[in-house]
Amino acid sequence: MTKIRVLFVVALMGVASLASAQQTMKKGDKGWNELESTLREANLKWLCQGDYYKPKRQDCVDLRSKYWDDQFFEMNPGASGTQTKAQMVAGQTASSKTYPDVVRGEGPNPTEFTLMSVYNNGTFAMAVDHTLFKVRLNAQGQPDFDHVAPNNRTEHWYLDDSGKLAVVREVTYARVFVKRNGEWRPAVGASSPRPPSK
Amino acid sequence: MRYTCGVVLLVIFSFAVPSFGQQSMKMGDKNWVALEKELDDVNNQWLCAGKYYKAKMQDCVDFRAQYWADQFFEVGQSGKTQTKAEMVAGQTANAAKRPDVVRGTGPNPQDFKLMSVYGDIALGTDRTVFKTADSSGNVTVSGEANVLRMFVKERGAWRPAGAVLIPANK
Repeated sequence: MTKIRVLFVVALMGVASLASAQQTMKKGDKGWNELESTLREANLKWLCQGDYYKPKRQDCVDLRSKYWDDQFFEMNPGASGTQTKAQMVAGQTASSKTYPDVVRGEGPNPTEFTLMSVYNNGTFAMAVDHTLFKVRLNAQGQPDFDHVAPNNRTEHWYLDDSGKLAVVREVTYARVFVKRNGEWRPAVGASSPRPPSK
Repeated sequence: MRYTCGVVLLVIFSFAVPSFGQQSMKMGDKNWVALEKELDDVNNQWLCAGKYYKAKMQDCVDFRAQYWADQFFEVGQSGKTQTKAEMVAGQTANAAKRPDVVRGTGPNPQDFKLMSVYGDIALGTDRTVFKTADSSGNVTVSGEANVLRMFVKERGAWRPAGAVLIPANK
């Protein structure tokens, strides 16, 4: 009888903690800010930026193929449209053969990461960021469009703060994450173009 | 004793149901197709499209203010992010300027597809065709977007949780 009572209390506590995980987290409070910080880091990992930089493009694709959730999909402007995880990995693998090397800081650079909503008892989160797409410069100090994918070949560009890379495209990116076995993983990415900052 | 065991089992069951619901649904199976159909209808309600048409713009804004989840947000076609409160305020201002809605104008969602399900969260896509009416009442297409539609199930009902609008053909 005592064992059953203990089991009952433990089960009740579990249900209560699950319910409270969602209800107690509110924009701006400690739990929210901590989750935002965790997901900002997960975002950098997803994009192989900062500490997660990989000089070989295929290494980043391989990481993503394991890191993205199985149901992952992405929506972007242009011909690529909506792509499943398998389509994304196939497309990026093909691109890696044409453009195998990555200069540090090149590619998508997320800024202003903001957690927007949290659901499913704290296991599902939606966020947005301002992503800057950067490319290396050539000997003439112009964007080196010969070594980047065609969708980055734009007419308007400006130098980033380092002066070593050109910002060629800017988007608002919705970043959606799911917590699996204790780890936050990308579930969806969707980007909408925004006017150049400069 | 039996009563206590029953309660314990019930509580444990209530734990298992959400994760079971997630795992048992796969793209293309009966439950998936049924949910896709249900969310397609939710999408039409959200946009006051088809049978959910409302002649007064403010009626649609008022409906959305109730229907959208509290944490709802939207990324527009120019990359601007707005919260639920900002969306309602903006649409209320627009409704004051253009109070009447010609049937068929506004956002018309097509090709709704359910892409993923995570417990009480579902993510879908559609192609939304925006239509306007000229001074003679003729309805024409003014723009198109591919849209990420996010839904959350709260108190047994699916509600819009967010959207990202991506301009088509850009």
